[in-house]
Amino acid sequence: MEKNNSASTISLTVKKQRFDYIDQFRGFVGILMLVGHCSYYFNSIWLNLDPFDPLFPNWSQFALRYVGYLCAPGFLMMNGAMVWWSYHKRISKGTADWTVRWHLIQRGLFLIIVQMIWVNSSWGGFRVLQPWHFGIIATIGFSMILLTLIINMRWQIQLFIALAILVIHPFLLDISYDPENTWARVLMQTFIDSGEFNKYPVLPWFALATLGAVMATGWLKEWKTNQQRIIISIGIASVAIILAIVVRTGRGFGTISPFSDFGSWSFLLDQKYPPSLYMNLWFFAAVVIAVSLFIAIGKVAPKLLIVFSIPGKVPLFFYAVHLAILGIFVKRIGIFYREGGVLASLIGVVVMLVIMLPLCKWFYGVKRRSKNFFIRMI
Amino acid sequence: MKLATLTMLFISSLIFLMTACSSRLETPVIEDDLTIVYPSKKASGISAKITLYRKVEKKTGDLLGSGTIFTIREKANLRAVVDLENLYNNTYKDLMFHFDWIGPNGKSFYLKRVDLVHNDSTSMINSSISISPEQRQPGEYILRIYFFRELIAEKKFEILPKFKFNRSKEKGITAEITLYRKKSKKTGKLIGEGTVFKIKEKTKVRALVELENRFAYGDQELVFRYEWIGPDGLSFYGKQIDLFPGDSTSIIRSSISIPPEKREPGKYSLRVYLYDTLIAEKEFELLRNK
Repeated sequence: MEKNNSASTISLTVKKQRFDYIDQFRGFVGILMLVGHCSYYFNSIWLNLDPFDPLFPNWSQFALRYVGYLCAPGFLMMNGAMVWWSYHKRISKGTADWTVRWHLIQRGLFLIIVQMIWVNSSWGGFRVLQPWHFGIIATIGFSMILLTLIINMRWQIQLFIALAILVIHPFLLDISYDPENTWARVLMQTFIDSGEFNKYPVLPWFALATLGAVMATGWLKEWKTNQQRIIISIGIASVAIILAIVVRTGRGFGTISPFSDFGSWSFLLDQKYPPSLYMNLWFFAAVVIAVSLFIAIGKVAPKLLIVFSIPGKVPLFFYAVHLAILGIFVKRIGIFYREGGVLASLIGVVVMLVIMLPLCKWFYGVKRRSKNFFIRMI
Repeated sequence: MKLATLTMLFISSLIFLMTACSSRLETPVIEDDLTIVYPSKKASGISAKITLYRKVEKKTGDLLGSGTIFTIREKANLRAVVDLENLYNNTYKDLMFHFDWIGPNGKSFYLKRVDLVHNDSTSMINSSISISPEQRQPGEYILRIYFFRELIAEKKFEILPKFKFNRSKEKGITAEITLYRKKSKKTGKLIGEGTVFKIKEKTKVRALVELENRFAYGDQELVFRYEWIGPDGLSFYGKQIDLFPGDSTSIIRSSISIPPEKREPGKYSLRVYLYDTLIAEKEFELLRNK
């Protein structure tokens, strides 16, 4: 009997831990995004920084920008993992297949609307409504809708689809189009290329979301212990890193910007908009390693990660509100807008966290209690 | 579990160390020509020397008007050439450079990427910007050079407002024209000084223009123009002379040949303009040689 109790306790702990490390990693990525946004608003490097062709005067500026590169792959993969979890959890509870899928599609559509109505305008402090622009949140929503269509497939097929897209995408980038032609621009930049309309084309990011769903099969279902999760994740990440290095050092297919030496800034900084095959492999590995790291830290020093759980439980709220605050107070009112450097950006992060963490905690409570459709969608 | 945790920490540290690599020293060195260089940590690393100039002398290939102070001027360009050192250590791969021109407001107004394919023997890269009044504002500018996205050198320069003539004799430039036939090679003295010359084969009328208050306009680039005017009142020969800030010359010269098949007897004049303002004029007469 005692043995059974113990087994049941472990099982419950493991079950809880699953959600904790996903929440914590999602919160961590959210805070990294806050770092990137504080840099965007407070750091004078943004007077000159072209995100499509970035140049850096020193290591600290490079590091400040590069940590943000983890955000989009992190969000997409965690979104894919959560779509997988949400689908299978509801199905196991007996909900009809298309009811579950419709719920996920609604959520995807909601994200696209949030991008168009809220996020686009919040960058400038809601000075003007700018609905005709795509962005990371809309891409997450679109990927979510597409993922819904293949979410019940076996992980091997999902993996094949994701890898096929990642391998085919570099060829699709060769399609020439006239960016002045609205329809061509919208079509190409929605799915394949990056530009003013959208920096996050759906295809490569959908592939990463699908890889997130594949990893969720292991993290949340197949791998029963944390040790198993960590070891297998590291193995998968190692394969991805080796592939990434092979692609990058080959200086040919799958890599776009030239680099100087192995391990240099330029080695790490291949094209982000849209991501090259190397960048996709590299950041897939980085996300997998980071999730494993969160599992490991959660086991040995769980208190270190509590702070990440707070925004991680309400990531969309955290994203939408911190961006709006920065947009209104820094861009629109002009408080210290692009006047500082790395230090000013980091001070901005601390100040914003002081504001955002209590807000997130409050909203999480509201969300748990609320039955309002919109509140629950956020 | 401990093994897995340690492995995780090891891999994370490895990735962190990898991203920590910067190939340049944070403390810059200021070269004699005012190029600010961020030296490579490796002795074999590429370094860059920036030279800013206005134009190239077509005959000699010399760079004219090199320096750090330039003047806004119609249809004029400011050019940059970057001499790359230690390039031979890196010719096995494609090399990526960026020129980033930054204006007085601190914003980049022109970014140019230059890729050198491997085995390219080029050791210099170039970029230029317009300094026409409709394109450029006066102020402090910076040109930054990046190698594989890392800052390796920068140079500050100033663009002065478009030239405005000052009519005050004390403050503005004045010019004194002396006409003569030739200059003694031995003594350097002017021979045949005056305002009347005889038309002859292989003979010239030369003008020497002495500029007073040469630096009345500080470091501004000065453009002088000669117009030689014939008996019909029309210019038959014009010449432009640019004086750049680094040039301390206060004497400028021009000449015309006066063979019988080219010149008619009559009253002529030489006009000297500073930009579009006439600053000196001298009349002279050409006589038929009997």
